[in-house]
Amino acid sequence: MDIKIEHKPAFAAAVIKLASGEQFAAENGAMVSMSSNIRVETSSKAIGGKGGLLKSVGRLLGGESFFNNVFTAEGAAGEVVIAPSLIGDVERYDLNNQALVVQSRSWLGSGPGVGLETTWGGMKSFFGGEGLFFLRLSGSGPVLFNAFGAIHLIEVDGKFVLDTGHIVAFEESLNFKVKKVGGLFATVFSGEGLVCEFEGKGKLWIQTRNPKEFGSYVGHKLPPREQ
Amino acid sequence: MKNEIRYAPAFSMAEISLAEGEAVVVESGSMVGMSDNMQIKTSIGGTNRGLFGKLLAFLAALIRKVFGGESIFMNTYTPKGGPGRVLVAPALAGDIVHKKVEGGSLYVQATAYLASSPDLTIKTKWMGLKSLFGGEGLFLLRTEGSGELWFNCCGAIKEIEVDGEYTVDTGHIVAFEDTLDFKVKAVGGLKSTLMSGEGLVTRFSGKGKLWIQSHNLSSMISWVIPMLPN
Repeated sequence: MDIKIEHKPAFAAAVIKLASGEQFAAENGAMVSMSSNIRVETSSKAIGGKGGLLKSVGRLLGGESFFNNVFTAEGAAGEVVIAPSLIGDVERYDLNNQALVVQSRSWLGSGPGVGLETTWGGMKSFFGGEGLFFLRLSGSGPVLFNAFGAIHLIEVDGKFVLDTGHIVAFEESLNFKVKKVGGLFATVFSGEGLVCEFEGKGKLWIQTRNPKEFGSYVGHKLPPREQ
Repeated sequence: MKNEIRYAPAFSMAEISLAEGEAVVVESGSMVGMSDNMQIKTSIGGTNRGLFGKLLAFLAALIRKVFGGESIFMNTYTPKGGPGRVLVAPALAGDIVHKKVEGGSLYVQATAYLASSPDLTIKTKWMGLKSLFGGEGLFLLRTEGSGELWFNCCGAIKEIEVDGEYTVDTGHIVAFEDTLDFKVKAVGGLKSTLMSGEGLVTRFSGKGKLWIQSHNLSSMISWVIPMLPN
């Protein structure tokens, strides 16, 4: 398997070259183009043979599609091009018997040796209106994740505070907690609301744009939605 | 204070590094991330002095909030017990400009303001009908004194050295030095000028720098609205 990410960071797309018999799973709707010998199987099961209906429901709650597609090169080598629906960046991470936590809307695809399960940011993030859902990817193989904006890597060693709207992915060696940005006044009026405090040593990927901020900025200029 | 801007022009983000004792003022909602020793203080936009100045700043912020979806509040970030850093990015897709202002004043579209050092005074100026910039620019921000300034735009940014005269579509003005004079002129008929807020151009004259943006949110929105379902 050979993966190339092209047109970073604004219009990133991944070109995945598969040898005969190789497989790659991708988010529903992410396929741009593919060779004619690629077979597509749509499954509501989580990839990697783990999970089942319940896990899929969890993924749905997390804002992800219920289904994902598994691409298989049949009889010969072939390629699949996948891209996220939003403009933005794509990054690759290779798992080697470890786990990566990806914000649920950021999973784009992964190799067949990677398992996927839903986890979440806890009651606090839920009631804070942030609704943080994460996917825990484990096993071995490549993972592709995407973002709104460019993806920026932060090597955390100690503590780092991140606006919840900018989380993309992080290594499991990092712990996090959702907390208020400051005092009551700052929490209510600063426009920053809840933040995520990461602690430990590991990689943290962030997106340089916040979908919610973008949405509310643009949304103010759109006509009101009809009820 | 150190600045590094990455991912230009589509998704620019500025990393501002502060030494102990330094601070930076950032538009509300624009903080992406920060070191954990940052203290945040929230205040009402602008650094206008005096009761009238503060009132004007509040009024301007309120109008920006209502019409532009911008926040009334600004946050001041100060690292405690050592150096710290703040990552800042605007809501829209587009570029960021960092400028050291040393004497002279700069006019900035209110929606383009991103951050500034506390020593730079930012005043809200009512520009009157002269400045119907794309229908949202009744107020401009004006810098006074010296300090650092970050402003953002929609799309890519272009710096133009004006010497003589130069004409810009009003929706594409981001910032300009106050050595430049400007006049808003109608490009279409009287009706479109008065009714739509479109069809206006700005004629700059004199010698100084001007920053324009390649795209314009209002134009994009007008393109999108007819595509929306009922």
